[in-house]
Amino acid sequence: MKSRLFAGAVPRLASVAMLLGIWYAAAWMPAKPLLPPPHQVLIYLVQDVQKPEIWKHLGVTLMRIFLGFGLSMAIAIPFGIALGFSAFARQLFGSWVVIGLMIPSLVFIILAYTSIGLNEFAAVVAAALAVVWVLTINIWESAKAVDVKLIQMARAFGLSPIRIVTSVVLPQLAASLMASARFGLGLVWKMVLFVELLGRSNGIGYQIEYYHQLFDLGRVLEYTVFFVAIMLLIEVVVLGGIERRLFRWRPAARLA
Amino acid sequence: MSVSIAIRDFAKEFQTADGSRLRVLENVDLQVTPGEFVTILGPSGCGKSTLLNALSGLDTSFEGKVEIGRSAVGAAKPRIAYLFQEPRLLPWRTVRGNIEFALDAARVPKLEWAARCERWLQAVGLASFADYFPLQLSGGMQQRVSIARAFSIEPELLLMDEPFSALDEITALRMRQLLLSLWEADRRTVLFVTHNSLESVYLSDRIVVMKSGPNSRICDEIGLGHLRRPRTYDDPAQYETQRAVLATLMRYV
Repeated sequence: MKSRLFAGAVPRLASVAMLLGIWYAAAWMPAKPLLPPPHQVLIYLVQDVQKPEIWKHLGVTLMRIFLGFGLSMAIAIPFGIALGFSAFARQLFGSWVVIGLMIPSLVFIILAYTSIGLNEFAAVVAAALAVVWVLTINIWESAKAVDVKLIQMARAFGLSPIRIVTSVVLPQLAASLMASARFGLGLVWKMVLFVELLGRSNGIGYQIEYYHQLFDLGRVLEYTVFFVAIMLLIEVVVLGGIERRLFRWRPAARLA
Repeated sequence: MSVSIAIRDFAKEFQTADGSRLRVLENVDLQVTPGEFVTILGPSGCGKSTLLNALSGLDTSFEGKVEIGRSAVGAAKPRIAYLFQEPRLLPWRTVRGNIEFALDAARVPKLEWAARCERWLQAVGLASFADYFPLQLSGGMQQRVSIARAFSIEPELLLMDEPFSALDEITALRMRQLLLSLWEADRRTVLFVTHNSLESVYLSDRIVVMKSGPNSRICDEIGLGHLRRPRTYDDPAQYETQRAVLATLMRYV
């Protein structure tokens, strides 16, 4: 157990050390430093997490992320499944999704703000619009991959059509829906920063833009590190935990 | 317990990509008596599986008549189990969960589930693997689970579509022995599809030979009443018969 825990510890430590080394090298360039040094950012961070302000901005941003994510998944799941299973749906909506995918996210954000107004609702809609297309395609692809042979098996054994959907089709989709969810969350949180920068006066994205205007790179990095750490925690602990529970059946090893 | 099968004037057409119609099977007549083990022997692509799909209800667009009947009149829909070439287990359910899935589909009362899982997993030698997931097992073990699944619903008709053709030879030999030992206990009606003449002789009471498609049909029948059961692999009479069966098969390919 112990040896397993420490296996690969050397390259991992070396990896962190190298990263810090490069950062310090950039910070201590004799002529013109590129970045503030890591310990400076860390000091900012330690100071700020003790004050309520950074948490307030984080709360606002997280709320937008989850609403935007929820909205885009709520649209992408039914449309993706319909596109995967029905030729009619493909003829009707297939090209919409492809066109939506081609439109730059910036356009959706500007559209949402100008037609809905500079408000919270527009921000959530903008974030959702920016990612819903690629999510739909993602789910569409996974719906195509549902194993028809298992459906046949269930029918041959006499399972009713409704039960086939609930106990054969949906469990197969669960794996890819989970993957789409992780992928979607990753996209939405980057979009939300954009949305905040363009039209809100609070949130992590707004703060980063604010310090950028003051040329305070230390604070920009501080907010970035803080936000990435929080999202990493959500991604690994929450989503990873759900995934491990759902997919226990994927084996680590097989018997001979 | 077991059912008879009557197939009369069966034909099946498929629409091809260019819009023309391809007639894969025609003039198929086949009677199977309750408790009989009948093998359909023919080359790949002769429409053997098409026949099984019609019997199982997976395919309903065919010409002719397909009847699955009991000796008793007025009974409910017959209980059918299907053994495929691949195990077709649900990978997110345990071995036990997969058997329960079939019991559930066949509307077996929940009270009987535990006993049936136990009994049939024991029968295929996997009692200690009930809580494993299918992907943790080897291909042969997975196919044994699917055999347990098929027998667990105590089917009146067992349809088998080349269930051992994807396994290595040794595993396949063992599986055929296992299948026969399970089948001989209570002789359910079996319709077994294969392209392997050795397998067809070892397993069945009667072989129906199909010619290669399209326009495939049953072209010969070989009774195996002269081979005693329980069958063994080293029975010389069996080898003699297999030679004859192979010769017949080659005539129609």
